[in-house]
Amino acid sequence: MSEKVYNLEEAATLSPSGEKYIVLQIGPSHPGSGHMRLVVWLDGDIIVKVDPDIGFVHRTSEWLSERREWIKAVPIVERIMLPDTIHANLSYVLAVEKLLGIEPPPRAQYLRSLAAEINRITSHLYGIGIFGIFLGSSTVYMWAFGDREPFLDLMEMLTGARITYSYIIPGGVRWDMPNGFKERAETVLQYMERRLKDYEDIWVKNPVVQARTINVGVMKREDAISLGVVGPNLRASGVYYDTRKHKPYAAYKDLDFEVPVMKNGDAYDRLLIRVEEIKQSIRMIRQILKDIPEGKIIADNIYNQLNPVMKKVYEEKRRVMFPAYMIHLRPPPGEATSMVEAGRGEIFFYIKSTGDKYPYRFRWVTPSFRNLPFFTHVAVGHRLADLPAIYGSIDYFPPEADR
Amino acid sequence: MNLKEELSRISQAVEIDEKKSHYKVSVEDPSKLIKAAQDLKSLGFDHVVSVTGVDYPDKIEVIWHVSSYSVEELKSINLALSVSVKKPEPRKEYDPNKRALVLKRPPVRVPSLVSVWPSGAFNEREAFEMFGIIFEGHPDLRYLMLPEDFYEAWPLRKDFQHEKMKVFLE
Amino acid sequence: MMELIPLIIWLIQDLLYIVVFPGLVTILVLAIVIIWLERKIAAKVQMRFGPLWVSKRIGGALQSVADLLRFSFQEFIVPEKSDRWAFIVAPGLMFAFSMISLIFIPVGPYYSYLFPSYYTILFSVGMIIITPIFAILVGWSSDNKFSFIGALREAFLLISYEVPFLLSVASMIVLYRTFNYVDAVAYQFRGLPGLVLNPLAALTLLIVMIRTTGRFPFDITEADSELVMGLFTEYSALFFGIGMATPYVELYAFSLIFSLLFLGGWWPAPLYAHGPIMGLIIPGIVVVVKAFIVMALLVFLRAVYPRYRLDQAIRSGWSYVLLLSVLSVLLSFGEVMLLR
Repeated sequence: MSEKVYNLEEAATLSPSGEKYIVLQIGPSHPGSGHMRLVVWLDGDIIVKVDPDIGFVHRTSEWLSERREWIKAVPIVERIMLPDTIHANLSYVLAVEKLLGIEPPPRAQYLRSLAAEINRITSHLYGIGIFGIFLGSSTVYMWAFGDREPFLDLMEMLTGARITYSYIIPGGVRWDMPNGFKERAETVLQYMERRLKDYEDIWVKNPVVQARTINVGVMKREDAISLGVVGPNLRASGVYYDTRKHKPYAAYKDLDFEVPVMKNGDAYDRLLIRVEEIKQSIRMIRQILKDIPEGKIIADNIYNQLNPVMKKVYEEKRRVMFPAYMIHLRPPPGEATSMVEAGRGEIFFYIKSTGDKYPYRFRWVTPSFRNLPFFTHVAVGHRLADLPAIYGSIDYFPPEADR
Repeated sequence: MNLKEELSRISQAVEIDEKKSHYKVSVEDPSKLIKAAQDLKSLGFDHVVSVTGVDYPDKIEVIWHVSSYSVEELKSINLALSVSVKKPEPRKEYDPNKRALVLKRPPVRVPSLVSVWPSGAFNEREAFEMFGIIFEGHPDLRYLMLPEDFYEAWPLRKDFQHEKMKVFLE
Repeated sequence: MMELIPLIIWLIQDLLYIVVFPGLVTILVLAIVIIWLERKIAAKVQMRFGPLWVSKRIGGALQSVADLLRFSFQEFIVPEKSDRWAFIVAPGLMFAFSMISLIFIPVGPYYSYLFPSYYTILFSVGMIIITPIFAILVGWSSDNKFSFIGALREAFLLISYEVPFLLSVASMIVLYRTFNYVDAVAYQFRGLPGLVLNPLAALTLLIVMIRTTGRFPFDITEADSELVMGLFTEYSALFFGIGMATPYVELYAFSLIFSLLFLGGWWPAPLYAHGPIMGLIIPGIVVVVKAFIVMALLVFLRAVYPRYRLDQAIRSGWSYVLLLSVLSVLLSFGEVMLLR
């Protein structure tokens, strides 16, 4: 942080043509911007104001979903959050289930949590990798993206797809856990635990990384609360809040896990908390694999409406083919909200039904969108070189924010 | 703390369904909105999750979904603060650029709650561009995601016709 | 007529010296090998294969040649608002001055005939120091904010790392009591190599080397997540290639200086031997191999470290590195007193 303190009121009045400052347009085609533009006012090397100009990958998911049948929103919301698809899927389905009033069986709940935790690890690895390349370490970038692969393979074994699963449907999940999955998962988890030590050696305890991140981009606890940031970034600022604990869904009521909370709220803490969450996810996956109950993977009232061929497939292969009648889903009138702790933070869904073929109002807020105040409030007063450190540490994903 | 009692002190119209985790406080008059928001904040709802509009044929409902990070009992609650505003009649106006009469759909006006909850700033900008809700008192009410020439299209209103915008045809 | 023969031989020797060894051809080959090695080492650490598309059988070693060819046939675009002549000339000058410094660096006992001077250390160091000034010119002439910030960063770093560099070289001059590389090597032949005699100066020179050639963790002027490509944001085609190759030439020059001053020069080979093989080729190869090892060590840093921030680099330059270099000078004085 610089000695000079810039207040935001003064910064808000700056015009883009101000001669006193260098106005940098970082993005939309810039190696350190992602699919967005950061308009940065610089006083020498010090950032005076940042205006995040988002919307370059705005894919109108709300508009599209309001003009399609209910079930068709699942692939749409998935494609918005590519590193973290299962949470978008889960969150939407939870909201629809609230409208429909169905409760999935316990095995399906556990499978949902299992898929969510595997996906959380891949999402955090994605974030750590991007953070690495933003600070200039291609090694961590390559490692993290390479180490995502075993988990993606695991997801392929479980759901049949690597990235876009469409795994969760109202009433349950589509595939059961295949034979040999537990052994495979255990080897992958052990591999990841070994790798986490390597990460600590080359990345977390690296003196250059510590010099670049400690006391950089400090989000104080009060600011984090009033600006409403989410997820690991919130917990790094010392707020004990996790949707899995406080608004439990899927099988998280039964699982034993800790919510890591840090104190300082700087970029280094935000890095540490992701590593800690990977450890917690590994712990949770082990519990799920041990405790998963036997039984159906789809709710009875959905199962009863499957046709005989599908029932046969379900009995033989433990798979639910996508039920065609779901296209005619008409939830009763009403409104429902759902919240899910995704890898980057909290996904919020607000859905209003009028009993029609399409949702009347389809609103969702993604974690990256709620982490935008990091640019406008935290980056001010730092040096230009700190901007990638802050950007990388909050794990911001522009397509997710734009929806 | 009895939440229902506290909420009914803020407004008469309170819907609570704990099984579905549905909490909603409706304010009839937009002028009472800031007072209601301040009361909610003093209860412990400290951040905005989402600000959105819902377009009905005659009115627009603006909903702030708020939750709490600091009060332990409220962390499980996601509360909706809603206000409904009547839509002005659409009117035909001469547009000098297009040299034709254009159907204008005037925006509605609602007080901004950024002064109470700063976390809603980006959300309110999005609701503004998507629904044509002018949040009075918002410090920086600009388009967020849409391009500047999308002016007054309000794409998430139900009467938005994308064909006329020629967005997908060219 | 007969008097001219030694002159002609001398001229041919010089030409060979400049063009073949250790001049242009060697630099080209070494740059290609070191870029390939850099990518392969990084790939090994990062659990991937590295370049493998061009010439798969020899592990993609010709990838850099392919890149060079591609650069040569690209269109060179001069931005409209740039300072046209400076924009065109600056990268060439930058490359040229880093090459000129090589003329003063002998890789064998008889190479110094090319430039028969007693002050080769001073000249080579001086030429290397001039190079970043053209880097600043490159950034200034592009009329691009990112290049401009890159040029400013280069200027800041140049100033803060120049003093330690000169002091570390000066400490060795004090120790060897000569301005000449050959005499410096001869001094090391008589006793211990400079790395043992004055490790502080060696460390300082290594740090300055990393900084001047823009290796990690001092990859600050072209930090791609901040400044796109730093100084060379606006460049294309062969000029971009030159810009990318200059740090490797500088690295080569620095490594030669390092191996002459600290690693005993052509140590296992005899100090003064006659004949073209023992006198010219063998010592040259020994020095170049030593320099190559130093280069390989430095390019390996890419796989380990991210980059420092500008202010951190400047602060360490004016504190730790400067302190190290001052201490190295004192150490040299002390040793000179003791050995006398």
